[in-house]
Amino acid sequence: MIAHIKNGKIIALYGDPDHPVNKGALCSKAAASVQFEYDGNRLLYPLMRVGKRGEGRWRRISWDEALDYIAKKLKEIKEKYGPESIACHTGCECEEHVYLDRRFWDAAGWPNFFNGWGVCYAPQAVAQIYTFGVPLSEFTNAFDYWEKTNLFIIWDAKLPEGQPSYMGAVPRRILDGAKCIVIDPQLTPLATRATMWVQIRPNTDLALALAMINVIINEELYDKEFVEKWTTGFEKLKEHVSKYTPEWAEKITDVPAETIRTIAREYAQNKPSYICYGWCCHHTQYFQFARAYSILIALTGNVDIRGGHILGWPRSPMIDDGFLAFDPRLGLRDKRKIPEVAKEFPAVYEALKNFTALAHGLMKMLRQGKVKALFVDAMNMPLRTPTYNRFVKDIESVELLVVFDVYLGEVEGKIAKYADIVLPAKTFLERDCLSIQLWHKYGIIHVRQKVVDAPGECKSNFEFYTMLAKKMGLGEYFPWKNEEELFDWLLEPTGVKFERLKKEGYVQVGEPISEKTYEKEGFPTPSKKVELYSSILEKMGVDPLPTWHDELMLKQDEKYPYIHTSYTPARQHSWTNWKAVRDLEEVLEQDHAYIPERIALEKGIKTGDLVYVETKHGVATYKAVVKKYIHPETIIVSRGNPEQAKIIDILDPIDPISSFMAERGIPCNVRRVQ
Amino acid sequence: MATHVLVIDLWRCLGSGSCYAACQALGNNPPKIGLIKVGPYETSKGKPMINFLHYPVGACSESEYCMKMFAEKGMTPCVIDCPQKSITIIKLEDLPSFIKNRKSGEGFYMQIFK
Repeated sequence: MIAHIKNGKIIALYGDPDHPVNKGALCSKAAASVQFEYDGNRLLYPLMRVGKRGEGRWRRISWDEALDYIAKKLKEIKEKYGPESIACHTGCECEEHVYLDRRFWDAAGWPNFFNGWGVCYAPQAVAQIYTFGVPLSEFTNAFDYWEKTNLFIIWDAKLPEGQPSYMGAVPRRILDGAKCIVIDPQLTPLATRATMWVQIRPNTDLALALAMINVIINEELYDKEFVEKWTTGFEKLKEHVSKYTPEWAEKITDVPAETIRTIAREYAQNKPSYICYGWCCHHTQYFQFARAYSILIALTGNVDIRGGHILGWPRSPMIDDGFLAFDPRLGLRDKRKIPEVAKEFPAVYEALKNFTALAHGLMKMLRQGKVKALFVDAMNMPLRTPTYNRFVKDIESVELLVVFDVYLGEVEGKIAKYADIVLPAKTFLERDCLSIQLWHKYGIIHVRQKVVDAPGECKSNFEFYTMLAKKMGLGEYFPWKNEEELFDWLLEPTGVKFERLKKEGYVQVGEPISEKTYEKEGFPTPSKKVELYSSILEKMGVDPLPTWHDELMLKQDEKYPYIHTSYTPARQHSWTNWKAVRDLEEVLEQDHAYIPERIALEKGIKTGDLVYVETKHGVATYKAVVKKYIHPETIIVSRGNPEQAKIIDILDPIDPISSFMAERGIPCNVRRVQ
Repeated sequence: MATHVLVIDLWRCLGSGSCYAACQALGNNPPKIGLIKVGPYETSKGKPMINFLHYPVGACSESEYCMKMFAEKGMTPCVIDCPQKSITIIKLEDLPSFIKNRKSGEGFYMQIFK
């Protein structure tokens, strides 16, 4: 991004046309960052709560007073309840929120550290690990080779609209002649340009994937050479999916059997092809759906080839483990302890050795009253780990809630409102930041430079943790005098100095992603092959082949005759970030419920009417938008806003294997507000 | 009287909102009834209703910054930020041939501002 500054203020902010990844393109959130910076409601000073939680009565305190209080309380709580009673939940996974928060928690010996992965992508990575031995790299890496891709399947993902810097390549490829199949309950903007739009009933993606596997095997459309040489369990899979015919799947998915055959044939016969599964297939059979599409990728030989899916991430001395937070140079991994909640979902823990993926576990502990101190950094839990309705009750037994954030609580559902101590954070425009971008065929390390001074007494994560570590007797783990020293230490293995990064903006490090890496040493699985049949999962008591479980379908009934599902309006916000930019919210239609024409007609609902959408968890109010091209029993609402957080619950229902919240496919009802 | 027009190719545009946000962030008055509302979304045939929108440069903007940047670089933040590269700035007099020559330009265009 390029910022133009006049008299110490940003007057314009736009994409850098020379950047190797975005080439100048910005999403709406980035383009709106000036408003984010200058919103009048910035948190400027540390505050201590003086009224009841949520009442909004505060006393301004100094940083010193705040840190003394926090350090004293944390020590007391640790003594009284033990280290498991202290938890941290951070948001963004790619900046200092991870490596400094994580480092502090490890240094203190507190096991309960969670981040945004826990409500995002983890089940897919886990399923891919059991299949390929490592996660597939994301679209953010693969997009560099999409000029070779002949067919895209955009599966229940709004990424081309929400993350356009990368996924904008898909519609451009369509214009160049690539085929594109969009599988989605609603007609998305991309679907209007696609070769085929497949309208699917929410929560039935696994059935469709299983039927596609059936077709590809029965019609011998699979890559025979790859399957024979590089997979294990094919015969078991063939027998297993023989019952999952397109006719069987039609009854579950509402997708005609012949359409299922067409999708399967197109996918198998247009190699290289790419399935964009997005991060929004959160339903009760999420993990096994991810296993099923991983098997589709393997059967068609679309694994580790350019234009298809790539294994793993780019390698470099600094990002050897994929994420900076796991860099062994941080030196504290040996101190890391496994939280009790991780043991309840061994499939996730054993694959990742990373319990941050269990946001469900944190909420469960909260609800059981086991968390006594909670630190929240860049994470709006009432909305992101719902349910909002009972969040106040969930945190009743928390004796210390510290929130480090940019805003206080004017935005509905903002967690800072409920805190005991609120600490003012710098925005990304007010601090230097070393950012590791894995989102490319190379690893890219780039610097995001401070462009304006922070207002009031806002501080960076580095400043905050260095000060708190000293108060807590953990100063030895934060020895750097300033951020530049920290960055140089982090950069040491690459041979690049922070000063050079500031001048050049970014450097590429390590080797570029290559193809068919498995040919050297096989896949990093026990069999050295792609495990269509997973013996590891079998030992854990999990279906070793993806299996449809009808009992996990959430049944509609007279009270809740429709299906609630959500879409990620990532044009406006990333989860709950950027919600403070009200103009963006207003214009980009945040609080809308999409209602099929038939239901609207029956209920007398017109576009623009206020409607109640109700599930067993509560009632939300939305503005109705009557839609023609939407699954006829489905009510689609936007995600990550206070209203939706009233009608879903992170603990019910869940995917029983991964523990993930299943917010798609929940029975609901809708009525017009009288 | 504007000498240039800003043309949005709705076959490329997916409604990311980047142009809108870029425009609004400059304190401008972005075209609210533009692509966000009528662009890529649902129509009777599931396709965009119209092929192009165009705005006279300056009509959607009161920002000196925008006009200066356009004069110096031939582009504005909304053009740079667009992920689909669906926004172009051309001379007003070239508009009819521009529309006619585009592959998907067989339909008609809508002029929002005069």
